[in-house]
Amino acid sequence: MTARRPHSLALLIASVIPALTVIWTVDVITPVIVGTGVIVTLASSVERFRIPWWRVGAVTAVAAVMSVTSFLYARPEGLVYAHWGLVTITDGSFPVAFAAFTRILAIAIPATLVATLIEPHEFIATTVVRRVIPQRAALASLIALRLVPVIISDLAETRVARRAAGLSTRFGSLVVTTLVIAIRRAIRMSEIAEVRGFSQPDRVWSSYRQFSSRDWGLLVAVTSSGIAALAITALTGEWNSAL
Amino acid sequence: MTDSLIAFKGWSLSHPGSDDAALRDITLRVRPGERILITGPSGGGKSTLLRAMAGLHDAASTESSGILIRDASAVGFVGQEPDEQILFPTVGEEIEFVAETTVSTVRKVRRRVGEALRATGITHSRRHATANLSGGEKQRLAIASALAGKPPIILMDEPTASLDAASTDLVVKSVTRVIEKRTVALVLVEHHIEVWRELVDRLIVVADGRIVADGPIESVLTKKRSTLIALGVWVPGHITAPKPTSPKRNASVVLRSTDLVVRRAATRSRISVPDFELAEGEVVALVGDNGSGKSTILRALGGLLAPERGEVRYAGVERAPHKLTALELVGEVSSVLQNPAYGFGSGRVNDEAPPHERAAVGLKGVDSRHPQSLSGGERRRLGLASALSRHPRVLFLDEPSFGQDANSWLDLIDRLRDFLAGRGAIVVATHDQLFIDAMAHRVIRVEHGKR
Repeated sequence: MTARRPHSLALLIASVIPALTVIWTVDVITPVIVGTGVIVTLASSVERFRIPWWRVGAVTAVAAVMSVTSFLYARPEGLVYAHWGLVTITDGSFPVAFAAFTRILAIAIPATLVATLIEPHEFIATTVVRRVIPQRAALASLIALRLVPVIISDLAETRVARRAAGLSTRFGSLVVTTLVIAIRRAIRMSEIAEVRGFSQPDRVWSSYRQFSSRDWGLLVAVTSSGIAALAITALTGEWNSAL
Repeated sequence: MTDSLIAFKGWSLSHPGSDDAALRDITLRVRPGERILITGPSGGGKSTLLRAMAGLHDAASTESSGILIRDASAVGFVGQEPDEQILFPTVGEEIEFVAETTVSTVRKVRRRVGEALRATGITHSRRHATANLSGGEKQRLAIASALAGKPPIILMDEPTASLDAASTDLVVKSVTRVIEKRTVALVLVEHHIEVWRELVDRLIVVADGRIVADGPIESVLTKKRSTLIALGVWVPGHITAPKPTSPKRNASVVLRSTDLVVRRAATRSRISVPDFELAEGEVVALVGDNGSGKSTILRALGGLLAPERGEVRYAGVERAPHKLTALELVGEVSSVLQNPAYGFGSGRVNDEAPPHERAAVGLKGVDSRHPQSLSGGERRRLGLASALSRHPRVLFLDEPSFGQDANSWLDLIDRLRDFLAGRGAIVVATHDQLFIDAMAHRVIRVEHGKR
């Protein structure tokens, strides 16, 4: 039995709400409220929700590194703690760096969670049924997804086989052989796809499903988080216009 | 055509620029419910004929003459290479792709998927990642996909070539179920007639692009026996395994494996290998089901993979094999992987192995072709010829007899015996019991995740 999970299109829309919210103001409150709101909404909408800790950890580390730039190069404000060339660390460096850190997290963590929940086939089926993209392009993009792990595996096999043959295993050599194999494989796979009905115009998109009230509820909840974040920021006097 | 699903009349196919036609003067009909097995020597045109039936001959880059009539929507096709059969990331999507074009509601699609999974004995969930399936499971999934369309005819190109005995049995049983009411015709390309003998009723033999025999299977096997044997067809009961050559007494040990534990990447399972020594002139066979880890062990022994624990040592070499450079490694041993195409470094067969080695493994008439364009059996023989040309002390062979006709198989055995006589030694991973009977002095059974 498939676990309860929101529609992939709803998930995708939910993942961009934090970015659309934090572009208005550079502060800490907005990203914290909208980020937390979206994460809590996702967690409560998905049955057997699990946080991919390794990915979240990696995203947090990247956010920390990126916010260092803001810390070192922020506009000087207040007491100067250190100054080397273009680098100036002042009282103003701390809130700017923390705001940058929380903004990145507010955008990246929901996106990371959604990436683990989204079902490409359902998303593509929706775009085809809603006539956003043509069926052939949609199917080709789904098959291309399958090729990604195959090509990675081809690359590993090529490395082993070239070592066995006493040949160079430098990346450039591997890529050429893998490319030749991948192109031949893609041609044969396209033949198989054709035999199995790739070009058949009448297809029941079984992965397609309509938005349910729960999907609309998810969108209302995440949008409300964004609006609430902006309102609270303005009311508390923390609004720092980014435009 | 009214009573035929596919009809050829005087049909020929050739590639522009090639003097030889790939198929010549083909005349045959496939009728509803028929069960046909196509066999013949490697490179003789069996697969080309099957692909033409499926409409997979590239009309834009080939020239054909004569008549071919087929219903484009009426074919289920299962090819040779497991990885090329799978188009989608999950098991369910793979089968739905076919079912979605043949029924009108989502409920019926789901029912078709369930039926196809049951028919092929696949127990994974619909959301199981196809990337994590073994070769045998991928092949069964390809069959399930073909079945999901409920076509009046299923075409299969050596569907069990890469499967172990248990998986082969499952596939044969599921195909038997599918065709038992004769509502579905079956056309199957296969070297090993014995496996399908009870199931099929007509045998077509293709050699040098022509149909050289066509009729009821038992009749063809009896009346054309000598012709079939001369062509290299696996006539049931004709080839009995010659006894393995005796290794020399007091032969030097060339490889020693101690406390070896390897980790199979696909399943992350650990496999312990019993300690063994390999002497000159000796053959050790690794046997086990698909996905049990035979290939992983072979790679660790061949210096292509670092073992998790334990030690492999070649006589006279201080360092562990996986720490040798590629050039140092090929100075000692050679590995022929299950798909040697990954290791071909040039654009012509000529440049991969010297003529005498190619001739010794029965590889003829393909000198100027691209190595990647060879059939599976030919690629394996070219890989072996290339490996032998480096004069290794030990050969590591991964399923060397896949896709070989009887003559090629005997050539393979002869060449490997010459190698053993020249003080070589072999470790082989194989499902081919005849090969084991003919070559192996010792057998190590590998089981999933353990020894």
